[in-house]
Amino acid sequence: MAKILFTKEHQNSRKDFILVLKDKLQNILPFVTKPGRYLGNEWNAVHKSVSNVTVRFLLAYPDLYEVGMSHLGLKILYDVLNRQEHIWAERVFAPAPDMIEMLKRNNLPLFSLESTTPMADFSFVGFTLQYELNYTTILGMLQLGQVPLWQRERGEKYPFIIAGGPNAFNPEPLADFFDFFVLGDGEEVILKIVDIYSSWKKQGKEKYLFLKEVAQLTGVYAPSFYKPCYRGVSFTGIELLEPSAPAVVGKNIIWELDGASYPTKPLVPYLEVVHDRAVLELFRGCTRGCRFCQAGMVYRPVRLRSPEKLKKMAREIFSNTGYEDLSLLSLSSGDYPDLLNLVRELKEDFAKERLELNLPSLRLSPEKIDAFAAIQDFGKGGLTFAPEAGTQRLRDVINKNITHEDIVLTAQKAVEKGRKSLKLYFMLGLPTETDADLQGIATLVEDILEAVYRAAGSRKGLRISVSSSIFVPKPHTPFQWIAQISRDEMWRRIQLLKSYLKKLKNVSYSYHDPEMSFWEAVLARGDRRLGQALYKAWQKGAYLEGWTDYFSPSYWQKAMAELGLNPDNYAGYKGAKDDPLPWDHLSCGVSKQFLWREYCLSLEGKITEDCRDAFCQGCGLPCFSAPATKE
Amino acid sequence: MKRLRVRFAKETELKFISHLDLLRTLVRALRRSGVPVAYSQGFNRKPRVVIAAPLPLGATSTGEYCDIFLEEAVSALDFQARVAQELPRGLKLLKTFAVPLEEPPLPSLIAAALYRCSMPGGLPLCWTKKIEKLLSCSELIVLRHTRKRGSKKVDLRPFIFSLKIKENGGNNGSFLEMLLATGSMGGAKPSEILSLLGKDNNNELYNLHRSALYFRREGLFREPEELITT
Repeated sequence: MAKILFTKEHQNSRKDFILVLKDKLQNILPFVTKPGRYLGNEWNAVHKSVSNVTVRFLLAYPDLYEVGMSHLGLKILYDVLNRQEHIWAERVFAPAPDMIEMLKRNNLPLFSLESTTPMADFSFVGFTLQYELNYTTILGMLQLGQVPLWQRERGEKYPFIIAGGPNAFNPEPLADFFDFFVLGDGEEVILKIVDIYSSWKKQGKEKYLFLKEVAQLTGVYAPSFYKPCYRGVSFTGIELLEPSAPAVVGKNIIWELDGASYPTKPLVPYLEVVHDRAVLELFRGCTRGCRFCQAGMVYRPVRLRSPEKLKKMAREIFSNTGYEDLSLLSLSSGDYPDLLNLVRELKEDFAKERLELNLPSLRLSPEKIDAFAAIQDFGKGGLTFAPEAGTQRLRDVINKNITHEDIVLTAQKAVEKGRKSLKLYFMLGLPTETDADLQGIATLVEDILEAVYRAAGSRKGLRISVSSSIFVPKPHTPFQWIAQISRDEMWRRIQLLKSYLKKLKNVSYSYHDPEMSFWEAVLARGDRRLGQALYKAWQKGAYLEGWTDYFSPSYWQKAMAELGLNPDNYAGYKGAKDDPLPWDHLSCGVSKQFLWREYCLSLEGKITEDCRDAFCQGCGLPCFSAPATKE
Repeated sequence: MKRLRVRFAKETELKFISHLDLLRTLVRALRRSGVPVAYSQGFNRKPRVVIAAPLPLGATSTGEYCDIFLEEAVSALDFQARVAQELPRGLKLLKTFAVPLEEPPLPSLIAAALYRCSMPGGLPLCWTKKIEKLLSCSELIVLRHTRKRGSKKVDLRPFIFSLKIKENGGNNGSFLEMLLATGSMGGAKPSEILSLLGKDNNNELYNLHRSALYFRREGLFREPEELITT
């Protein structure tokens, strides 16, 4: 039974099946919306001959094409894997509901875009875990791929279902569906995994032995080797079932980004995707230390690419894509040393090609506005700021170190340089928040309004849009011990802020659905028992839940009730220092002691400086600049 | 500044990409090729690449045109060589020729399009009669949905120049050939004609191919390359 996929006859019958699938697909595409999502022949798509490859890898993104194609991680892995002659990596995205309908009506399995191969025929299916509300979509995709959902029910002939991405640092709600998770930077370890797979496959051994071997690699977490224990509703710890597996799984870190492989021949989609542009990753990690930010913790330490490397990459990407825009990406691009110079040089290098440079996550300050306006068109569109909180006190709690005066002055300067609209982003329900902090948001917005009116000389055409979302306490952050506010309280605060902002002219207010933030919190802090809830919610119809049109909390509410689980125990969990946490056996390198210290400082309203400006704060990771440790 | 006109084909899977996607795809191919595409003036500078007439999503074509304005002269031959290798499978340059800068915008010159439509199981036999009937009508009013103002009534009859059922000889059997007005002066969509013939466009498969676009000169339909003046 074991190696049925690799017999000649089987392969030939699969080949015929794939031809039929290809044919049927042509008859389906005229009847679905945006058929361009399912073509697989975009510019720079990789096509190989099946007979020349030994490992088939399916990169799966649990959201629509337009979202998945905007994700850098997917492009990196697609490139790294396909650079190897013996590996063919292909893609699949969540099909839209109308496509699912067509697949079901024609009894067709979910297939890879490049070669129209059914998901079940791959060696690996690798999902990216970016967002908790995409979890049900993963189940939907596996089922459409005709792959058994539960790991223990998948026989030897099915692919290994694996995942990586930031949420792999607490994948417990998904643990029973996956063979293993990969923590940290994936581009090097993925090839080691494939190497182990290749020799394991030659020996024709059982899946269990492959898992055992691969679990020896840094950052590989095979959940079937770890058993969570509970007392009543509380999680009490992890029991290690496989002695050879590590008690605590660490993460992979690429120390030299200049030496790492980078997708300089990225796919160019036909459809307009969310981020339809070339991407240059300036650096990984962030040391600002915002206490709510999971990315700021799990991607540490900071590792930079050199300007020379970046300029070379930009040239290659441009000549391979023809893109009109180039985005300089990182968690906080303004922190790149001598960013100004890099931007100036890129501008000069690509003057003839009219390449527009894009700088998201800039952390704007008055000085930066002056500097950037001097070297490039500052644009007329909107400009986004994220003060996150309305008062200095609360910004100190979350360690978002920007001042009221700076925000106002930055906005004023942006308008002086020609911007007509400003977007301000806040979080509601941050730890220790009171109604005075909501009033503080209104005051801040009012001060900005006054300053920009003065700058523009008139009120005409100026707009400020304020948007808010509910704070979600995430694992591996100092706020992992904090309870999310209740759903009633979420609505009350939204209404209160709304009433404050109503009084201001030219200001509009929108908010992210609090129900979504609630279930995001439940899943983010979830333990393995939520796997059943996930399964039930999916069975009831949950799919593509990141989209407000598709999200329905009732699926979740019912699923949890049927299992006798209380979602408030997860979202509203308030921890004590020594509580075992469901993700304690997974480490991003930032120590629990550091997080606890940060948590205590936050409650005292004390800030922690960026370790690059001050001294090493002792987060637990070694990094490039560790001159002195705090006494 | 120079102006080149290309006739190109849009075939195979690329029939599933929309008009705007096609424009983006062409512009990126031109940028990769390094030909000096001219950009419009003003604040929002756009590459000066103009496609003659949108092709319905799902249709293939061997009669598409596109005007490209270049900052410096590039010979048609050189252009063809540099751009062809940057085009994805499914897009093919068929002909490249220079046109005078002062000629009106390409879309305003297009007057008609020639389509052929076939169906996997052959065309319904009743169509011969139905076509006769349609052509004998003095007006053919259909409802057209507009994005802003709901729907409006349009008379398609003046936009139909001819409808003919032809034999292919090959294994595809017969096909419907439609010569329809298209362009800025108004026109009929192939799907509208098929609906009038009683086809359910949302559920029945058909193959649609555009084989030519025409200018109108002195009462005659002429393909753009027949009118090269330089």
